[in-house]
Amino acid sequence: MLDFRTEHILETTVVRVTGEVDLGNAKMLERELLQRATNNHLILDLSGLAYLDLSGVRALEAVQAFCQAHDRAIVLANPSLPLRRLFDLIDLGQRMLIFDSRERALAHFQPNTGNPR
Amino acid sequence: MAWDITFRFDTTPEAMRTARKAIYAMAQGVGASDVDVHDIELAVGEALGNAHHHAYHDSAGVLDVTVSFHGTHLTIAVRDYAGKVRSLRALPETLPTPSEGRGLYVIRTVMDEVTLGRAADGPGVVLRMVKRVHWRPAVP
Repeated sequence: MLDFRTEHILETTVVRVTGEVDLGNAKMLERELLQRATNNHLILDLSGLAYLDLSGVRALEAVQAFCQAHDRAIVLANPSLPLRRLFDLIDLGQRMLIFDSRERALAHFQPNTGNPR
Repeated sequence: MAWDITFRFDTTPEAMRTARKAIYAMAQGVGASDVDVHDIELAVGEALGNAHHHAYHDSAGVLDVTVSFHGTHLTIAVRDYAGKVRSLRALPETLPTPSEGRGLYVIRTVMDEVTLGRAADGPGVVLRMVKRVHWRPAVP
């Protein structure tokens, strides 16, 4: 079961996902994120994700492709250590920005608001 | 302490999730570190997904998963029963592109020993994954 909490902060949409992502619901993750990526840059807060596999990564890459095609960005924030390990194994950081906190991700889009980088 | 447990299921998302969580709990039960437990869970999830995709072309098919613990090594063998003879991919030593499939690379990287071969006693393929664990008895 996946749960999505969405906040709009200036020109960004912050989505906090809670649950586990595997083959059974990766398409749902992709669909839900695409619905929320219509207008703004997207920050995906991963702090509530207990598990994510490569099917979930493929969903994130599909959302990233959509965002890039529409001149927007998706960045990841707050991955747990196991998620960070997977991202490092597949060099995801080479293709997608990954921040240790939501504040740092927000500061990436709003560099003049005094938020920490 | 030594044991072997085999369970059989169809590759539905629910069954694969249940198997993954069961093996996660087994890894915790033999005293694997948190990092190793998560590595084992990731490898198992990818192995089941690989079998579902490559053996059964994203339809539900039968898997036997055997988990064995013999003192210092946790071994997980995932066996499919796909009847068609198919070519086996080599275990990649470097990170493949996303379109080439990264599952076997991830499995090979997080586990200590991985072999992929045809089943000896019939149709199908066996992916065998080993993780060294240093068992510590539970504190009473």
